[in-house]
Amino acid sequence: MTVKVQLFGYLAKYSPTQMETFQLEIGPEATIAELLQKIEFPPEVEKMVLVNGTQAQASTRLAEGDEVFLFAPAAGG
Amino acid sequence: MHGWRGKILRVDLTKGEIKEEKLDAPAARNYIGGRGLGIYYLNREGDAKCDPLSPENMLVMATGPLTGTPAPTGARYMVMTKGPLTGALTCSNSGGQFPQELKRAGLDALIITGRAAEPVYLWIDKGQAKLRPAGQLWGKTVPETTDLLRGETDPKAKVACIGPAGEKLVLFAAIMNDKYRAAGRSGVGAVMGAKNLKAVAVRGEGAVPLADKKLFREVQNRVLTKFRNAARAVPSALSQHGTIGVMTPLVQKYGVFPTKNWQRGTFDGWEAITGQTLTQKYLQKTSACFACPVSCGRVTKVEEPGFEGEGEGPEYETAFALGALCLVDNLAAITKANYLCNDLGLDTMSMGGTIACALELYERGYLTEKQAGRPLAWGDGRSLVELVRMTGYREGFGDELAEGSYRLAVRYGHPELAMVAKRLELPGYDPRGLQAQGLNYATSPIGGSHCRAHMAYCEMVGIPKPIDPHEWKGKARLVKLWQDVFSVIDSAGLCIFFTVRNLLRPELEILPDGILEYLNAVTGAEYTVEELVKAGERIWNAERMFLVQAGFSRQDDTLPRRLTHEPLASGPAEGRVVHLAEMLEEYYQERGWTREGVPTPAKLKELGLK
Repeated sequence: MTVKVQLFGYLAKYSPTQMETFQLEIGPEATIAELLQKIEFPPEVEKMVLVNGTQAQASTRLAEGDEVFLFAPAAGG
Repeated sequence: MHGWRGKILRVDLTKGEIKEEKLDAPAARNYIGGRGLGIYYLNREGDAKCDPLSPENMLVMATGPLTGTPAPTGARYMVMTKGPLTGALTCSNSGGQFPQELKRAGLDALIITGRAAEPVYLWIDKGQAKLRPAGQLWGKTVPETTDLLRGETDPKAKVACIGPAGEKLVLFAAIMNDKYRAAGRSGVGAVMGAKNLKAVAVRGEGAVPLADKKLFREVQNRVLTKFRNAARAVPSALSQHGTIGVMTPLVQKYGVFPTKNWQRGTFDGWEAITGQTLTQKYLQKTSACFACPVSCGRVTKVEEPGFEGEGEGPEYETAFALGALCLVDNLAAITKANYLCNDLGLDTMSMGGTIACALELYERGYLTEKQAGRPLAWGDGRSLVELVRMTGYREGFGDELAEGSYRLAVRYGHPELAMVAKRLELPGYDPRGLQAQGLNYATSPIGGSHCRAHMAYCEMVGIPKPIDPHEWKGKARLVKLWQDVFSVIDSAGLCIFFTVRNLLRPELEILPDGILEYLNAVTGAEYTVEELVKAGERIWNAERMFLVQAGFSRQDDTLPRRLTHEPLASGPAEGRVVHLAEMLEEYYQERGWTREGVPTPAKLKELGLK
């Protein structure tokens, strides 16, 4: 299946395509943990993961066409 | 004393008298400083029932014990009075350089009462204070006033002043300091204007004395080393792209980006108004308040015809209010409108909220072109800029906008279209998708604010830990804890942006461990964490008592009907409303208040308030 991944801001440096936003082919019902492993995202880097605007966990399963958004938490406002 | 300077200045503008007075030392310990000290003096001497624009309204400018020390972000002061926009308390907070200069001039607080017969300004020169005529400054913009005052006093003087909006009693006029920093909310600038006080200029000397320099250095080295190491691994988005870069993408992704006067939770034009776009198109350099390692300020320059200008901004709240709320995706127009707000001395948030309210009144036919004096349209950047200018000078329809969205909506028969809490325009996080943020808006002592506890940090950003934004059960407890600890941050003289990430225990129960270390090194007061949290609760309850005295009750702890009854129509928060009534019930129980929202005698006794 294909999901859309966005590594926001500084996290774009970890993109396998050098692009902040890219499409990723991944096995059916893959989890966030599997996605992170596939793109070789460094586990020590602090991040939040949203799937279609909802907070996701490592165990969250993905579906075709999902939008995965990763960002580094920063205070502000 | 260390940390505190032990001195306050009383300025009676009616009599033209200035008196120095010793700081009430036990009160300083119990209320910490800044916001806490402000409410202490307001409750002791102020009149919560007064007309906010009358001479009877007391205006307090208070620094915290960490203000003016090298503690990271020790740059803040708090302006406390009764707000003309809201009739509630104000806690208008600002950083920059003015607060630390006030502190270096030997003052913990200014208490200003009365009304001068003619415009005056207050000049504090290293502890010597005098009132001087300000007729020559009346009508001048904030940058003009600042430059003229430096010419008249000292080129290095730091200036807090009002612009034309404060003079003309625009109900959301700000007190601007260092040209671009704003104690923005609730109309504190109009209180100064009503008092005929154009500005406070101050020059200090030396450093704020520290109780234990060795301990301070240890704490400072540890905190800053950790901060810098983290920034090396992942550069701070706040430093790189400002608050507009941190928040805009997140509110959009979560579907909580208030758009078109809160009719929607996502904004199609969001990418045009992010911090990343600002950096590419207009950023000249960043700017930092005193002692701040973050540097979230944006020094910008716009060259597009019709929007030319230079200055600071926009921050996220400005981009949300002047942008998404009004459907304006033209960043040049938003930035220009921001410059005008700064120059005229207007709160950008209430300005944007009020224009958005007018746009919806117009769209629905409740406000006609004849009444507005011009056609109004969503997304019209040129009109946005012109409406800001007209508001600052109360020209034409601007005279009605100058009253804020609540009064505007009432005037045209539809108060439900004013997106306010306690008549204060709400900040840029739709609580239909962030439940605790909604409870916090409804219970904040100043009305619709995100700064008296910023629940979007945990509900949206994941700081210090993520929490389900859509769950409302159990949120009341968390809101209470955060409100109490944010009271400590504000009272110590720190900025929430740095403090939340770096000086609080990284648990949802954000205990102020790091603030404690700094406070004890600076003051030698040997506070405990429990004592600080209790002080935060004391401050929150003291503020509540001010509201009770002013006539507020449970019915004022509310949100616009749109947020509690109209589900978001699309986006990730689709179908959701704020569960305020349920959370409020829990909240009063957590606070130890009656079901009417009044602190019980037992609670007041526990906190030493009666």
